[in-house]
This record gives sequence, C-alpha cells and structure tokens, in this order.
Amino acid sequence: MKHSGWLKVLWEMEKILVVLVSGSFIALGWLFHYSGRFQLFQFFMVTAALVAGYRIAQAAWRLLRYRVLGIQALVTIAAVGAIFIGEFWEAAAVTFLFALGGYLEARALERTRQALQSLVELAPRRARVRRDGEEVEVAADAVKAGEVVLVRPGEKIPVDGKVLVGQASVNQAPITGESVPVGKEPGGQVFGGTVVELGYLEVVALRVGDDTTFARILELVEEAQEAKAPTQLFIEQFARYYTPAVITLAALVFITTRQAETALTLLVIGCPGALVVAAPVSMVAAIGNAARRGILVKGGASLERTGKITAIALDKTGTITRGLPEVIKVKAFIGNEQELLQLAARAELPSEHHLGRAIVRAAGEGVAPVNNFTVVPGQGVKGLAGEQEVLVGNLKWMRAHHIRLPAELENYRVAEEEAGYTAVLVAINGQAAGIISLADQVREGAAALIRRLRAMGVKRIVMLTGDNRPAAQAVAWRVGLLPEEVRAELLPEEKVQAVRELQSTGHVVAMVGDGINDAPALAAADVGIAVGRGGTDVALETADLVLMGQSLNQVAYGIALGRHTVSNIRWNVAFAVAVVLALLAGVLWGKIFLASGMLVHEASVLLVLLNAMRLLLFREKGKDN
Amino acid sequence: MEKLTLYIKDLACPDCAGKIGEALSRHPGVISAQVAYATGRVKVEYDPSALTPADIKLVINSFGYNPQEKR
Repeated sequence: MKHSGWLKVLWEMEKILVVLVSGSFIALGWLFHYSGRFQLFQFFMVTAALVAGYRIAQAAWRLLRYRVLGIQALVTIAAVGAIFIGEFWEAAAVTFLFALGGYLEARALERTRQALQSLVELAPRRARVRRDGEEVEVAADAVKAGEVVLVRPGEKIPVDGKVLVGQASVNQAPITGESVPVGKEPGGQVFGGTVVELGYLEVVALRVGDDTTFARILELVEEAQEAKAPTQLFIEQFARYYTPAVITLAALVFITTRQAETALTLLVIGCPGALVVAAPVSMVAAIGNAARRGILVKGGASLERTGKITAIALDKTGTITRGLPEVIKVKAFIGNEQELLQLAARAELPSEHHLGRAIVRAAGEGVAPVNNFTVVPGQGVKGLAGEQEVLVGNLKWMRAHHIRLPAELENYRVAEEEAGYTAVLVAINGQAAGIISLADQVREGAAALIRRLRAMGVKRIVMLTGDNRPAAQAVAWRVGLLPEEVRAELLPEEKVQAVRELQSTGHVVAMVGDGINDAPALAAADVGIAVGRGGTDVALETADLVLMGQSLNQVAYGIALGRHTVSNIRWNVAFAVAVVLALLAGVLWGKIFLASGMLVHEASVLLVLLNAMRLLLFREKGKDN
Repeated sequence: MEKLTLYIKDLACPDCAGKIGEALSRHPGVISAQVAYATGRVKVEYDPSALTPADIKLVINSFGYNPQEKR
C-alpha cells in the first residue's frame, strides 16, 4: 500500500492527460481544417477520438463481459458510427466531451463526498493501553473491551468507556456538538473521539472500534446518504425504461429513415444523466452539511419530510425546559431565607428526590446531613439538625404532622402554585417556617426558537407535556407560546394522540422531544426530532433527526435545511426533465447532433451537480438571537 | 465469509455504481456486493478461500476506478 500515494497521482494524471491530449488534437485538427488540409484534419480528429475513447471503449467492453450495457457502450457505438459515416469532428467531440465531463463530475462528487471528511478526521487513531502492567501504544481499534486505556491532556479518548482513575475536563464536541468542556471523574462515562483538554484519565474500555458511539454515528450518516428518497426511486424507475426506449427509438429511426447521425445522437442522449444525479447528490450534500452542524439525518426521505412540515409539537420537560428543577425563590415566615434554605438542604441531603437535590444544589457546598433522617415517598423528609426538628415536604406531609398553616403562608403557597411553581413547605420545631419555590428552567434559546419557527411560517406550534396545567402555562408564557396551544397532563400515549390529531387536520407534523417518555410520539410524527441526548440509542433508533448538541436553534436549522433541499431537488429535477425533453425534441427535429447533444448532456449534468453542491455551503440567513 | 468495505471517491455515474455492483456480484467467490453511488462506498462479502481483497480491487480497477480502504 505504500505506493498508493503516487499511484493515485498517476490515475489522476492519466485522466487529465487524456482530456488535454485529445483536446489539443481537436484544436490542431481545426487549424488544419481552416488551412484547407482536410486529410490532416481527419487524422487529428480520429486520433483525438481514439485517445479520449480508448478508456471509454475499455470500460464498455469490461461491463459487457459482465453482461452489462453501460452508457460507455452507447458512446463508443456513437463514436465508431460517426467515424464510419465520415463525421470525424463529431466522433472526436463526443468522446472528448464525455471524458472531460466525466473528469469534472468526478471532481465535483469527490468534493461533495468529502463533506464528512472533517468528521472522519476526528476519529481516534492511536490508544495507550496498559498491558501486563506496561503502557503500550496501539491502533485505536486494536483495543479490546475490558482493557484500560490511559489518556493525557490533548489526547483523544480512543474508546467508549468508564473512568476508573483521574479527573479531566473533556471536550465532547464530536459527539454532542457542544464545545464547552465537561468535567469527568471516576465512574463517569466517556466517548471515543472526545478530547481530554486538562487532566488525566484511566478508562476501562466498554465499546471499541466500530461499536463506539462515534463510529456508529459515522455509519449512520453514510447509511443515510445512501438511503434513497422517494423522488430518487421514482427517477431511477424512469431511467430504467427511458434508456432502452431511446435505444429502440434509435434503431427504429435508423431502419425507417436511414439517418445514421440522428440515430447515433439518440444513443448519446440515451442516459438521462442530469436527471439521475439530481436527487442523490443534493441529499449527500445536505446530509453532509447537517452532520457537520451536529445534526444527524436518518436519510433522504426524512430530510424531504422535514422540509415539508407545517406543524411542530414540542415536548416540555427536557426540550423546552432543562428537565432539571431549580430553586427560584425562598420565602421565610420565621427567621431568614438563608437559614431556611440551609436547614431544608440538611434535611434533603440524604434524599434522592429530584426536588430535594435541587434544594441541596441551591444551598451550596458544606451542608451537613440531619440525624434521624426519615423519608416518605410522595410526601417529604424529616430529620434533626442539632436541636431543631426540620420537616420538608408537601401539604400532605405538613398535615400528617399536624402543622398549622397561617392564612398568610397558605395564600402565598396557592399563589406560587398558580404561577406554575412547585411550592415546597418547610416547618421547624412544629411551626410552618417558609416556602421554597422551584421550577424547571426554560432552556436558553427556547423563546428564540419559537419566534423563528413562527417567522418561518410553521402554522401550529404546540407544547405537549405530562406536567400539570399551571406549570405548563407558566413555561408557555415564558417562551411565547399561545395558551391554547398547550396540551398538559398528557400520558405518553396521549402525546401520540395529540400528534395524530394534528396530522388528521392535514398537517405534516414534527415532534421534538428528548426521547425519554416521548419516544412513541417521536415515532408517530412525520418527523421525529430528538434533542439533547446526542448519540443515545433511543434517539438514534426512533428519531428522523438527532440533534447532537444542546442548542435548540438546530431544530430551526434542520427545518430550513430540509426546505432548501426539497427546493434544490425540485429545481434540479425540473431542469433535468426540461433538458431531456429539449434534447429529444432537438434530435428528432434535426437541430442537435452528436457534438451538441453531448455538450448539452454533460453541461446539464455539471449544472445539476453544482446546484446540488450549493447545499454544502448552506447557512441560515437572517437568524435572530 | 469475509467482509470488505472500500471507497471509490470519484465514482461518477449512478449508472456505473449499480453496474460495478452487478459485475462484482457475478464475480466468482463474491457472495454479495453493493456499490452506493451517494457515498461511493463498496461493500463486499466474499469467500476468502476463493479470492483476496486485492482481487476485488482489481475488478474495480478494471472499470477505471481506484478504490481506497479509508473513508
């Protein structure tokens, strides 16, 4: 394999040389033509056709040996036929243009397929493994599951695994799209392809090589690019009949009219080149573009549907909100707020409850746990903080302990709940002492996303949630959703129902969720968009679009890209159909012959390719913050 | 049975993709072969006692393409 470098250069050079040499011969031929030396003109044209046509004929022959009739065979027949009927220039032009077009198309496609290259290059290559107590460096995919790998600052983590020893800040951008480093410590999960920025880790390998999340993401993107969208399947079906039909037509024309040139020209245009590349190249470019932005698209069909959505349903918890309650306000009726929060945190410290954890986080570090800790699920916790008995919980918990709630405190509690907060009551030594208000925080960018979706003309923007109505309405108000578009207190199957209702009113519906309790709704929607759970199995399996990063902005980006892709493909297909019809009409009319037919054919393919490649450069215009 | 994945980065016509795939499938020792136009990816399942990866590359070479192992 060590020669592959210059071997590749030779391959490239041969293709360019063929085009250059045959092109120069054609130019020489015309020079002699104008100076009246027709024999030299003929000689150079035939030589040009031989130089450019040699590889074409060779490829045609090889395909024929496998009993396959390719476009190369048609071009070869056309060129040989042209020489036979004395049309030397036509023969040279057809082969030259086919070789030149083929070369340019190959370059354009190479560029398009390279879209993933920046992603591929993030793949880990080397790994340091501890084997028999010694540190050895091996290829990343040679690590075995269960082995311990060592990762130093600036190095890539070579496997998916669990941290055994060490602490580090890790840049997880290749998996999550988020470049803000994440802290890792023993027990933490790490992904192959992510980079240790500071610190040192020893990681036990759980998934290696092709099984890592990173490798599966790459595989998924390639599968997506290869998956054929309905438009493409239709076109391929069409091409399957078109080519034999045109060849038959060529034979008929020759038999009935004896117009060899018309018949040969039909062979040249027999492959609807621009039409067959119209859809797939746009898809490869668009899916590559999305992947670079941290959006995984399941396939061409998914992207086409994304471009057509008219309604969007958003899950609340974990999508519009962070899915993590936070202490918003502390109100003390006895003592001060800081003391109340500290005492509540001491009582909640041994608790596993998510509201309790939020109170502990809010109180900060250095909180000592209570003695005699007791917890009753669905009610609250209690314990002894020194001499003080602390109760933290809901109304039921207070009633169970015969705590009297003064009217002032009770009114405050009701107002907080109506405002959409979860009010946690705190009692000290048998007296109601205060209320801690918690709420799930709205995610950054949620309000901006909803404005954007509206500006993009998405007709219905609905929020679905299993949460209670006041909490749901409070979130809706904060992000600018219409109150009548809030569906609260839904079970997972009722979310599916809500999606179906939208569909039954004629909408193409996208469902955005984190894939935890809304997986059925993601599957039921026309387009399922999984957000903020980059690379997890549920997301990869049920969703059409997986957003690797935390940024909600990507939802709008995905839709905008989908729309551009749909219109790009439409334009390509319309143009290609027009070219096919124009060529057919032109040939039968007697206006287009071999050289002009091939020129139009190759030029139209290149135009379609260049138009598709614009999707590589697509970026959103006029995005607000 | 062995699997081989190759990439033809400059694969030009959609037509050729299908046809190289057909040709590979008909080659003795090849169990299945797919060539995707979109990515230029070639997936071959073959009988290692009948042919080697080098043989498979030669078949693709003969169509005027130089496949690579890396993406």
